[in-house]
Amino acid sequence: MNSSPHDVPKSSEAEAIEQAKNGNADAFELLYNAHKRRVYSLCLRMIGNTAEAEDLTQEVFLQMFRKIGTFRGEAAFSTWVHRLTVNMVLMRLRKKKLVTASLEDISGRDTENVSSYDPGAVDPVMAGSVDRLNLEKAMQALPAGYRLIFQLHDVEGYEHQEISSMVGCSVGNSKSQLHKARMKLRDLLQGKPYPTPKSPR
Amino acid sequence: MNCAEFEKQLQEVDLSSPSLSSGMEAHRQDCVACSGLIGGLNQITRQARLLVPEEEPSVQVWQRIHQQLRQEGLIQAPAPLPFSPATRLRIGWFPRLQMGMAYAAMFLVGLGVVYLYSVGTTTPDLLREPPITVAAVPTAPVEQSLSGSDEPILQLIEKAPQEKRATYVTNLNRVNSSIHQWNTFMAEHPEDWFAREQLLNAYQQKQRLWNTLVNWEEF
Repeated sequence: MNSSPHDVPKSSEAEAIEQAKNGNADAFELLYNAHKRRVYSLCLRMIGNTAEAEDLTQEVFLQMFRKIGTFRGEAAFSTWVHRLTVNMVLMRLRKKKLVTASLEDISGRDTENVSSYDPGAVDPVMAGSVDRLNLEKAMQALPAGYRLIFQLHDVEGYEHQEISSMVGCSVGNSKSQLHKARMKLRDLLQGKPYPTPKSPR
Repeated sequence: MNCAEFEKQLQEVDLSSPSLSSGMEAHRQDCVACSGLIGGLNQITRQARLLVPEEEPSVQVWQRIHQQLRQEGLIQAPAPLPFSPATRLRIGWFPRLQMGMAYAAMFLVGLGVVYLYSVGTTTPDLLREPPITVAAVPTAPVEQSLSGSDEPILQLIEKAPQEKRATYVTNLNRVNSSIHQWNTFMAEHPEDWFAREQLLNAYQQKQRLWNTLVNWEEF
């Protein structure tokens, strides 16, 4: 992880988790406040719509609080929350049928044709083009599966091992997806045409 | 190593701390394109690290979650904790106690008013223009109900039979206490509809007390 998701000390969080298991309303609120930004940020980046991202955030936390009794502390709570968030994001995307092709990529059937690296061409200098706004925009143009892996690894700092358990793919697949995501982002940031979204199958 | 092999091996490289194998490093130094490629990907990775979550959901999200948790019975009433201003603010049990006390006080005032009505006049048409308007309840300051505006009521109490005065004063103090407590509670919880209703009830109790006193005077 490149940064801690906790706004509260871990001991407080562990205590809050135990209290939340007993139905303590303040503990629920504390856990919500500690994790809302990360959950919402992931939802927003994956869904791209604030109203729907808020709706999904609500679902994630409700599900989290309903299932908090099953949290045994074997993994970090933040990882547990993130795994839940990823699952719900993927479910939402499946419902919307926006992620069909990309999820196939994650499961190993790589059908996405990433523009191949042209070794004969000199890589244009990207200095100045890789700012926050451009990168955010380029990320939105990525297929959802690529975007998810890129978000989890490069933005949030999860390791491939963690991602593989969250998303349900192999470590190799996670690495491959990440590489393709970066290559596609590079294309996009170089001004190559943004791909049109695939129609649902 | 050629460019295709370089790119294939690149996905195994941790770009946050790029340490290329000797073969890759040799190729990178010889190939401008591959050198540019790894430079570009490094820029993307570095910028991605800066995309920390800045946005947060609106406050309504937590309100909806909280409401749903209550409906599902997942949230229990908090256990009483040792009293202190800090725990009062954080845990929020003390305001609920205040609500209970205010409710009890209003109940007693109500009983008193009903009793006074039962022994009072039977000429309600003679009621004067009420000094307290219910419509003004939500914005009425506490001081108004506790001090200055009570002067007319106190004057009426002075005109009431001697044996009833103490009861009227007690009822007035109780209803003022309720109004004060509900106003205090409302200041901290302006959206609490239950508290708002109770504050309205308290003002209505005071209105009835006023009516009773007017009836005594007219009678």
